[in-house]
Amino acid sequence: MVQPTMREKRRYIHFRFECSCRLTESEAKDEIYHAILSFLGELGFSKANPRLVEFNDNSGVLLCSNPELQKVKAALALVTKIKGENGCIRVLKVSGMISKLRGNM
Amino acid sequence: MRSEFHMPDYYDLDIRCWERDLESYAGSLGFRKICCFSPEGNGVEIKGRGQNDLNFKREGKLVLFLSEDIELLKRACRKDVDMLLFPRFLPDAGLIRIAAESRKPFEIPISMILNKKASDRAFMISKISFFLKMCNKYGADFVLTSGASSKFLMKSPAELISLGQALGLSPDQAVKSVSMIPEYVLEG
Repeated sequence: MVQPTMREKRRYIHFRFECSCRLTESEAKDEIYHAILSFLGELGFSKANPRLVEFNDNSGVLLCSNPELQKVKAALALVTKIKGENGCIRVLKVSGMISKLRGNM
Repeated sequence: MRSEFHMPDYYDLDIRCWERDLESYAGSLGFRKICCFSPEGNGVEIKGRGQNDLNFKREGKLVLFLSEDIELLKRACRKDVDMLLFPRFLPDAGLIRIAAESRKPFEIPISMILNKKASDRAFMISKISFFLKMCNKYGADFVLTSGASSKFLMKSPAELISLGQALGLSPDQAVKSVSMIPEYVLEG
Protein backbone atom coordinates (compact mmCIF):
# COMPACT_ATOMS: atom_id res chain seq x y z
CA MET A 1 0.00 0.00 0.00
CA VAL A 2 1.28 3.47 -0.90
CA GLN A 3 1.44 6.06 1.85
CA PRO A 4 -0.83 9.07 1.24
CA THR A 5 2.18 11.42 1.05
CA MET A 6 3.80 9.20 -1.58
CA ARG A 7 0.67 9.02 -3.69
CA GLU A 8 0.78 10.84 -7.03
CA LYS A 9 -1.16 14.13 -7.07
CA ARG A 10 -3.78 13.98 -9.81
CA ARG A 11 -6.00 16.45 -11.57
CA TYR A 12 -9.21 15.86 -13.50
CA ILE A 13 -9.65 17.86 -16.72
CA HIS A 14 -13.14 18.39 -18.07
CA PHE A 15 -12.87 18.87 -21.84
CA ARG A 16 -15.08 19.03 -24.89
CA PHE A 17 -14.40 18.23 -28.55
CA GLU A 18 -15.51 21.13 -30.75
CA CYS A 19 -16.01 19.65 -34.18
CA SER A 20 -18.76 18.73 -36.60
CA CYS A 21 -18.37 14.96 -36.07
CA ARG A 22 -19.36 12.75 -33.16
CA LEU A 23 -16.64 10.67 -31.55
CA THR A 24 -16.76 7.33 -29.82
CA GLU A 25 -14.83 6.77 -26.61
CA SER A 26 -12.03 4.87 -28.33
CA GLU A 27 -11.70 7.55 -31.04
CA ALA A 28 -11.56 10.25 -28.35
CA LYS A 29 -8.92 8.29 -26.49
CA ASP A 30 -6.84 7.95 -29.67
CA GLU A 31 -7.10 11.68 -30.46
CA ILE A 32 -6.15 12.74 -26.93
CA TYR A 33 -3.33 10.25 -26.44
CA HIS A 34 -1.92 11.06 -29.88
CA ALA A 35 -2.00 14.81 -29.11
CA ILE A 36 -0.21 14.35 -25.78
CA LEU A 37 2.28 11.83 -27.16
CA SER A 38 3.22 14.05 -30.11
CA PHE A 39 3.69 17.13 -27.92
CA LEU A 40 5.32 15.63 -24.82
CA GLY A 41 7.01 12.55 -26.30
CA GLU A 42 7.15 9.12 -24.66
CA LEU A 43 8.96 10.31 -21.53
CA GLY A 44 6.63 13.27 -21.04
CA PHE A 45 3.60 11.05 -21.64
CA SER A 46 4.78 8.61 -18.96
CA LYS A 47 5.21 11.49 -16.48
CA ALA A 48 1.82 13.01 -17.34
CA ASN A 49 0.21 9.56 -17.06
CA PRO A 50 -3.06 10.61 -18.76
CA ARG A 51 -6.15 8.43 -18.53
CA LEU A 52 -9.57 8.97 -20.05
CA VAL A 53 -11.96 8.47 -17.14
CA GLU A 54 -15.30 9.34 -18.70
CA PHE A 55 -16.54 10.19 -22.16
CA ASN A 56 -20.00 10.96 -23.36
CA ASP A 57 -21.47 13.17 -26.08
CA ASN A 58 -18.14 14.67 -27.23
CA SER A 59 -17.15 15.76 -23.75
CA GLY A 60 -15.32 13.90 -21.05
CA VAL A 61 -12.89 13.81 -18.16
CA LEU A 62 -9.18 13.19 -18.45
CA LEU A 63 -7.03 12.31 -15.45
CA CYS A 64 -3.40 13.43 -15.39
CA SER A 65 -0.59 14.07 -12.95
CA ASN A 66 -0.69 17.49 -11.26
CA PRO A 67 2.89 18.64 -12.01
CA GLU A 68 2.31 18.00 -15.73
CA LEU A 69 -1.14 19.63 -15.87
CA GLN A 70 -0.08 22.76 -17.76
CA LYS A 71 1.77 20.68 -20.35
CA VAL A 72 -1.25 18.41 -20.88
CA LYS A 73 -3.49 21.48 -21.29
CA ALA A 74 -1.02 22.92 -23.82
CA ALA A 75 -0.97 19.60 -25.71
CA LEU A 76 -4.79 19.61 -25.93
CA ALA A 77 -4.76 23.26 -27.05
CA LEU A 78 -2.48 22.38 -29.96
CA VAL A 79 -5.03 20.07 -31.59
CA THR A 80 -6.35 21.56 -34.84
CA LYS A 81 -7.77 18.49 -36.63
CA ILE A 82 -10.19 15.90 -35.31
CA LYS A 83 -10.84 12.84 -37.49
CA GLY A 84 -9.29 14.79 -40.38
CA GLU A 85 -11.65 17.75 -40.04
CA ASN A 86 -11.12 21.19 -38.51
CA GLY A 87 -11.81 21.19 -34.80
CA CYS A 88 -10.30 21.67 -31.38
CA ILE A 89 -10.36 20.39 -27.82
CA ARG A 90 -11.56 22.94 -25.27
CA VAL A 91 -10.54 22.58 -21.65
CA LEU A 92 -13.60 23.62 -19.64
CA LYS A 93 -12.56 23.09 -16.05
CA VAL A 94 -9.86 21.48 -13.95
CA SER A 95 -10.43 20.01 -10.51
CA GLY A 96 -8.84 17.70 -7.99
CA MET A 97 -12.14 15.91 -7.41
CA ILE A 98 -14.19 14.28 -10.15
CA SER A 99 -17.42 14.93 -8.25
CA LYS A 100 -16.97 18.68 -8.73
CA LEU A 101 -16.72 18.18 -12.49
CA ARG A 102 -19.75 15.88 -12.58
CA GLY A 103 -21.84 18.80 -11.37
CA ASN A 104 -20.81 20.69 -14.51
CA MET A 105 -21.33 17.84 -16.97
CA MET B 1 -8.43 41.12 7.27
CA ARG B 2 -9.45 39.45 4.01
CA SER B 3 -7.27 40.20 1.05
CA GLU B 4 -9.08 41.07 -2.14
CA PHE B 5 -8.18 39.09 -5.21
CA HIS B 6 -9.05 40.52 -8.59
CA MET B 7 -9.20 38.28 -11.63
CA PRO B 8 -7.31 40.04 -14.41
CA ASP B 9 -9.03 41.00 -17.66
CA TYR B 10 -7.81 39.00 -20.62
CA TYR B 11 -7.29 40.22 -24.18
CA ASP B 12 -6.57 38.52 -27.49
CA LEU B 13 -4.94 41.08 -29.77
CA ASP B 14 -4.72 39.07 -32.98
CA ILE B 15 -7.75 37.47 -34.60
CA ARG B 16 -7.60 37.01 -38.36
CA CYS B 17 -11.24 36.39 -39.09
CA TRP B 18 -14.47 38.29 -38.73
CA GLU B 19 -17.93 37.01 -37.85
CA ARG B 20 -20.88 38.84 -36.40
CA ASP B 21 -20.91 37.01 -33.06
CA LEU B 22 -17.13 36.79 -32.72
CA GLU B 23 -16.90 39.22 -29.81
CA SER B 24 -19.57 37.38 -27.81
CA TYR B 25 -17.84 34.07 -28.59
CA ALA B 26 -14.54 35.55 -27.35
CA GLY B 27 -16.41 36.77 -24.27
CA SER B 28 -17.67 33.26 -23.61
CA LEU B 29 -14.07 32.01 -23.78
CA GLY B 30 -13.10 34.57 -21.14
CA PHE B 31 -11.78 37.56 -23.07
CA ARG B 32 -12.77 41.12 -22.24
CA LYS B 33 -11.73 42.47 -25.61
CA ILE B 34 -10.26 41.23 -28.88
CA CYS B 35 -8.54 42.88 -31.81
CA CYS B 36 -9.41 41.76 -35.34
CA PHE B 37 -7.04 42.33 -38.22
CA SER B 38 -9.74 42.25 -40.87
CA PRO B 39 -11.25 45.22 -42.80
CA GLU B 40 -14.17 45.34 -40.33
CA GLY B 41 -11.92 44.95 -37.29
CA ASN B 42 -10.18 47.36 -34.95
CA GLY B 43 -6.61 46.58 -36.01
CA VAL B 44 -4.44 47.21 -39.04
CA GLU B 45 -1.46 45.12 -40.07
CA ILE B 46 1.41 46.76 -41.91
CA LYS B 47 3.69 44.42 -43.79
CA GLY B 48 7.12 46.00 -43.79
CA ARG B 49 9.04 45.22 -46.97
CA GLY B 50 10.85 48.53 -47.46
CA GLN B 51 11.50 51.92 -45.94
CA ASN B 52 8.28 53.34 -47.51
CA ASP B 53 6.13 51.03 -45.39
CA LEU B 54 7.15 53.00 -42.31
CA ASN B 55 5.32 56.08 -43.60
CA PHE B 56 1.80 55.09 -42.68
CA LYS B 57 -1.14 57.05 -41.36
CA ARG B 58 -2.60 55.96 -38.07
CA GLU B 59 -6.39 55.82 -38.31
CA GLY B 60 -7.35 55.18 -34.71
CA LYS B 61 -6.77 51.47 -35.08
CA LEU B 62 -4.24 49.26 -33.37
CA VAL B 63 -1.13 49.03 -35.55
CA LEU B 64 0.79 45.78 -35.91
CA PHE B 65 4.05 46.07 -37.80
CA LEU B 66 5.16 42.79 -39.38
CA SER B 67 8.51 42.37 -41.06
CA GLU B 68 11.18 39.78 -41.71
CA ASP B 69 13.79 42.55 -41.88
CA ILE B 70 15.52 43.23 -38.56
CA GLU B 71 16.68 46.74 -39.53
CA LEU B 72 13.16 47.73 -40.57
CA LEU B 73 11.76 46.47 -37.27
CA LYS B 74 14.37 48.47 -35.38
CA ARG B 75 13.24 51.61 -37.23
CA ALA B 76 9.58 50.73 -36.60
CA CYS B 77 10.31 50.80 -32.84
CA ARG B 78 10.80 54.57 -33.14
CA LYS B 79 7.51 55.01 -35.04
CA ASP B 80 3.94 55.03 -33.77
CA VAL B 81 3.31 51.28 -33.91
CA ASP B 82 1.62 49.31 -31.14
CA MET B 83 3.06 45.84 -31.66
CA LEU B 84 5.86 44.19 -33.58
CA LEU B 85 5.75 40.81 -35.27
CA PHE B 86 8.96 39.14 -36.33
CA PRO B 87 7.88 35.82 -37.90
CA ARG B 88 11.44 34.47 -38.09
CA PHE B 89 11.88 34.82 -34.31
CA LEU B 90 15.65 35.22 -34.66
CA PRO B 91 17.12 36.06 -31.26
CA ASP B 92 18.67 39.36 -32.36
CA ALA B 93 19.87 41.10 -29.20
CA GLY B 94 19.98 44.53 -30.87
CA LEU B 95 16.36 44.39 -31.98
CA ILE B 96 15.11 43.07 -28.65
CA ARG B 97 17.05 45.73 -26.73
CA ILE B 98 15.62 48.56 -28.89
CA ALA B 99 12.10 47.13 -28.52
CA ALA B 100 12.60 47.03 -24.74
CA GLU B 101 13.85 50.64 -24.64
CA SER B 102 10.96 51.93 -26.75
CA ARG B 103 8.40 49.77 -24.90
CA LYS B 104 7.10 48.10 -28.07
CA PRO B 105 5.88 44.58 -27.35
CA PHE B 106 6.47 41.63 -29.66
CA GLU B 107 3.47 39.62 -30.70
CA ILE B 108 3.72 35.84 -30.26
CA PRO B 109 0.89 34.27 -32.30
CA ILE B 110 0.16 30.68 -31.27
CA SER B 111 -1.20 30.04 -34.79
CA MET B 112 2.39 29.97 -36.01
CA ILE B 113 2.82 26.80 -33.94
CA LEU B 114 -0.63 25.38 -34.72
CA ASN B 115 -0.15 25.73 -38.49
CA LYS B 116 2.95 23.57 -38.41
CA LYS B 117 3.30 19.81 -38.09
CA ALA B 118 5.78 17.36 -36.54
CA SER B 119 9.42 18.52 -36.60
CA ASP B 120 8.54 21.96 -38.05
CA ARG B 121 6.29 22.54 -35.05
CA ALA B 122 9.07 21.45 -32.68
CA PHE B 123 11.56 23.83 -34.36
CA MET B 124 9.07 26.70 -34.14
CA ILE B 125 8.45 26.01 -30.42
CA SER B 126 12.19 25.98 -29.83
CA LYS B 127 12.68 29.26 -31.76
CA ILE B 128 9.87 31.03 -29.90
CA SER B 129 11.07 29.70 -26.52
CA PHE B 130 14.56 31.09 -27.08
CA PHE B 131 13.16 34.37 -28.41
CA LEU B 132 11.05 34.73 -25.24
CA LYS B 133 14.08 33.93 -23.11
CA MET B 134 15.96 36.77 -24.82
CA CYS B 135 12.97 39.09 -24.31
CA ASN B 136 13.04 38.32 -20.59
CA LYS B 137 16.78 38.89 -20.45
CA TYR B 138 16.57 42.35 -22.03
CA GLY B 139 13.21 43.29 -20.49
CA ALA B 140 11.22 43.43 -23.74
CA ASP B 141 7.47 42.97 -23.53
CA PHE B 142 5.55 40.34 -25.45
CA VAL B 143 1.89 39.55 -26.04
CA LEU B 144 0.60 36.02 -26.45
CA THR B 145 -2.17 35.92 -29.04
CA SER B 146 -4.07 33.17 -30.82
CA GLY B 147 -3.66 34.59 -34.36
CA ALA B 148 -6.79 32.59 -35.12
CA SER B 149 -8.15 32.46 -38.65
CA SER B 150 -11.28 30.59 -37.54
CA LYS B 151 -13.32 30.04 -34.39
CA PHE B 152 -11.77 26.61 -33.89
CA LEU B 153 -8.31 28.15 -33.71
CA MET B 154 -9.30 30.66 -31.02
CA LYS B 155 -7.90 29.76 -27.62
CA SER B 156 -9.20 30.61 -24.18
CA PRO B 157 -7.02 32.68 -21.82
CA ALA B 158 -6.27 29.55 -19.75
CA GLU B 159 -5.11 27.71 -22.88
CA LEU B 160 -2.88 30.64 -23.91
CA ILE B 161 -1.39 30.71 -20.41
CA SER B 162 -0.71 26.95 -20.53
CA LEU B 163 0.94 27.33 -23.93
CA GLY B 164 2.99 30.25 -22.60
CA GLN B 165 4.20 28.08 -19.75
CA ALA B 166 5.01 25.31 -22.23
CA LEU B 167 7.12 27.89 -24.08
CA GLY B 168 9.18 28.44 -20.93
CA LEU B 169 7.42 31.39 -19.29
CA SER B 170 6.73 31.50 -15.58
CA PRO B 171 3.02 31.45 -14.61
CA ASP B 172 3.18 35.18 -13.76
CA GLN B 173 4.81 36.12 -17.05
CA ALA B 174 2.28 34.04 -19.00
CA VAL B 175 -0.67 35.72 -17.24
CA LYS B 176 0.86 39.17 -17.75
CA SER B 177 1.31 38.54 -21.47
CA VAL B 178 -2.43 38.00 -21.98
CA SER B 179 -3.71 40.56 -19.48
CA MET B 180 -1.56 43.50 -18.36
CA ILE B 181 0.58 44.02 -21.46
CA PRO B 182 -2.29 43.82 -24.00
CA GLU B 183 -4.29 46.20 -21.79
CA TYR B 184 -1.40 48.65 -21.87
CA VAL B 185 -1.17 48.25 -25.69
CA LEU B 186 -4.88 48.98 -26.10
CA GLU B 187 -4.68 52.02 -23.88
CA GLY B 188 -1.80 53.25 -26.03
